[in-house]
Amino acid sequence: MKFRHCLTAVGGVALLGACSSSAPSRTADTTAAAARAARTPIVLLAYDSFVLSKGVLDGFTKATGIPVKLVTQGDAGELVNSAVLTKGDAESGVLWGVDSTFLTRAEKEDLFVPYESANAADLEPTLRALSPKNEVTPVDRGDVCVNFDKDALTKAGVDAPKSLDDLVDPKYRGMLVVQSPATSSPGLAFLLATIATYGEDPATGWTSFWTKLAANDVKIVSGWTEAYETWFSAGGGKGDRPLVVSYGTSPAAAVLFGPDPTATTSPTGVVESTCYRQVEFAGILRGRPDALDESRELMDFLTGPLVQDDIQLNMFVYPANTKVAPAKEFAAFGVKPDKAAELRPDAVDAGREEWIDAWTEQFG
Amino acid sequence: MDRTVRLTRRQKLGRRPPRGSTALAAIGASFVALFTFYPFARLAWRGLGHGSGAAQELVRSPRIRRIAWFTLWQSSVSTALVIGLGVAIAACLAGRSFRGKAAALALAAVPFTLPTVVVGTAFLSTLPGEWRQGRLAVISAHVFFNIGITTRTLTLATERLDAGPWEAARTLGASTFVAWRTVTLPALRGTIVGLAGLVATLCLTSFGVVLLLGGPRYGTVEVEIYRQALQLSRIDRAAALATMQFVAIGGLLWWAGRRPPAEMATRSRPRVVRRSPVTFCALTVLLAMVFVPVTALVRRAFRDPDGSLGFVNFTNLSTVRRGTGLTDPPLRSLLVSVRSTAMATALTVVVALALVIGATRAARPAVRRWCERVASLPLAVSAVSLGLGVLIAFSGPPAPWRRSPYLLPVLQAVVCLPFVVRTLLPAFSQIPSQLSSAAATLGASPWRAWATIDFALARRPLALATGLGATVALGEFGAASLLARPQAPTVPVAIARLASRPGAVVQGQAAALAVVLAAAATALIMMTEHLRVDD
Repeated sequence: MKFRHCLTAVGGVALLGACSSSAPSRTADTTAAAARAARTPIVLLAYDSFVLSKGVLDGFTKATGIPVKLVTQGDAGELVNSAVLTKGDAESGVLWGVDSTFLTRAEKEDLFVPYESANAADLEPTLRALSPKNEVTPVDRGDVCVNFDKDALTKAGVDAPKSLDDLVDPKYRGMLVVQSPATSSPGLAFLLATIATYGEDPATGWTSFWTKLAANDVKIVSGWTEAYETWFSAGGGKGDRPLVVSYGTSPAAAVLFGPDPTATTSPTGVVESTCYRQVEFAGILRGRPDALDESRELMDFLTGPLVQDDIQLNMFVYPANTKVAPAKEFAAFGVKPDKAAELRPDAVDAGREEWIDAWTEQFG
Repeated sequence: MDRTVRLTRRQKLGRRPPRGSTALAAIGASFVALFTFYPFARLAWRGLGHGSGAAQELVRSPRIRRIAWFTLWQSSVSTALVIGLGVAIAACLAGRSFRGKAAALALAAVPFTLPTVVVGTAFLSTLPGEWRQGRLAVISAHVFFNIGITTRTLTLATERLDAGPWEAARTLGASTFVAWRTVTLPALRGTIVGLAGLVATLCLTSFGVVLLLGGPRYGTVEVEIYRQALQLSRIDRAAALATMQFVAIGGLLWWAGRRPPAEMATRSRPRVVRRSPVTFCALTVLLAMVFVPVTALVRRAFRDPDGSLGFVNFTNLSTVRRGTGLTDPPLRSLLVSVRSTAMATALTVVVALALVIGATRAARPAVRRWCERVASLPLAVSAVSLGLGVLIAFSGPPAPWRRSPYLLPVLQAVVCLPFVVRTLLPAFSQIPSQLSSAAATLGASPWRAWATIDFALARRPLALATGLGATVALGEFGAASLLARPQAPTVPVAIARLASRPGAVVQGQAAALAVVLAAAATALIMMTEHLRVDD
């Protein structure tokens, strides 16, 4: 009995110690251990390509005592739709990776518990405005843009294209490879870019642009890998197409993963005015009312400076947190267009199926 | 009470006891039901239970009709080509004995075990420009994926045939070809029909190949199910499509399983050691079909990121690069795969044995056919349908197993089951029943008789089946890629993740890892081939 009283006393001291910055480290350790025992473990659900540097999530667990299990599932579309299928799953926690095209769908299904992050003031206001009720919080943004192979264009004796309009110029005949919007997320973004740029008028709208694009011998493939690694002339397959739909940060990736990671110029470039902005969000999934506090802390961690900086070179996206400086590789090789094409999430949600079906009927 | 039971059992000894074996078959069947039909039923109910009219909507849609037509068309053409070529090549190879035959047959079966993403990409790069996408690409890839396993199965089946009728025909003056046409071919009919059903099923539900090589224009039902459910959020339409697919494929398999496969002979034809141009040609055709893409893959693996020849991609496998979609070095996925494969194989062999024992000891032949069909039905639930069903069925009560580390091996075991049962069933059913009866007369208990006779006689087929199961589990991609998974991908999933990143280093790692997987699969198959040769 006496022994237990003793422990309680130590525990009390430890708790007090936690509030004072001058507490001896040993007491702080005891607190952390006590906290660890008390906190509910949660799941961080993300898409396949979600990666943080080793130890980042462990650091969160060490600091807060909350064990986090990272679970990945398919691409962004698959992630949201399987979250819908498994709604109320007792194991969910925080979901990372709702993109702007699936935002409305997720909101309609009422997947998330609204939460205003402690870092809200630091997050880009234009991105936050996309989810005014704070159901989800923006975590990163990227752009899908036409990339070009500098050498191949020089050899062909043409300048890099400057706009979507240029892509239908006979000068660039047979040079572009794109992904099908029916099966690929960058493919859908490129279709949305053309819809945002040209509108839906049957005579002058996106269908007329695509008709001209098809007449200019565009190559359409199923996914990013085939497009970049098989058909693109600067990709691994050394294809014969010098223009490809990829990401705004791809030129930085081409250097970092290229034969010489210290190179000062990238073999590829980006056609800025063709970019379509994709924003990604994280949110707290419904179904775990007992772990709300833990989920909120994880949300703050994900929008905080450490993770926001770490995602840049791991996932080749720009941070949503404005206090975090963009990676120097992005500044050197990538682009962050001030004005990228964009459609409102609810417009995308309403039109997506119809657009994809119409596209597949005519050009697929 | 106890005494009565014992008496009854003893009375039954003379004609093999059905009771325990029926229970065994039931256990095997419930495993299949729980992990295949239950998830599928939940998917169907989720999509169709509320009568949304999705099915009618689909039937009316010209797009879906086009997709259904293309699915049937490509699968029929691919199957006809695979079976035609396979029968011809097997006819030339069977009964011949030459150095390297086992190795060649093992190598030919390798593509079957590789993840489609990788081989598909390698395959693409070997095709000339406009062939790279569309109907031709899909069909040639399907032939490439299935020809090895078909030829191998047919060659083995031919060599197991009873020598008597063949020798009689030859003695009576029939030429080799006439003897083959009138004796061998009819005897193989059951095996061929079964194989055709299998190949047709694999082509009908083909996902990766079609996604990669079909291009946006040529989609199959399987791709459409995935698209409707996970890209367009139309789970009702996906469920309607999945149900139609299940009914069609289930019917096909049921029909293909109607005819028993070739009986195993007590004395098979002696092997001929003779070099003949026919054998040489057949072997060349087989290996050319398989080797061109595999060579492309190997060449890719040995091309260093800077373009020269070397081993850099392989040494890179022990390092993890930022942004490659992996948190651990790619080599670690080997450990994950080995563990998962071992569990899946053990499980699938146990379940298969339960089904096979149940089938072979059943008093009525109807039960036997039934067990065989139950075991092949997991093939009718395609990978995408199974993945969707598992998402729905195993999230939350009554079975919240979606995140369990054991779910993947269990599902892989279900995927392997049809292949393992197909290997075991002929072996067990051809053990003469007189042996057990003799043992029973001499006082052995039924299970003792089974252990000392059936098991001993079927040891080699059992090893073969285990090897085959392990190979299928090792290369399994569908279940592994659709399941929610922690940061521990299996080798095929790791390859697919690496392959979806830009940059020569990552692409090189993907190719190198694929070569490692191919080597492991080849080694497994050769080990089982070796067992067979010893026989």
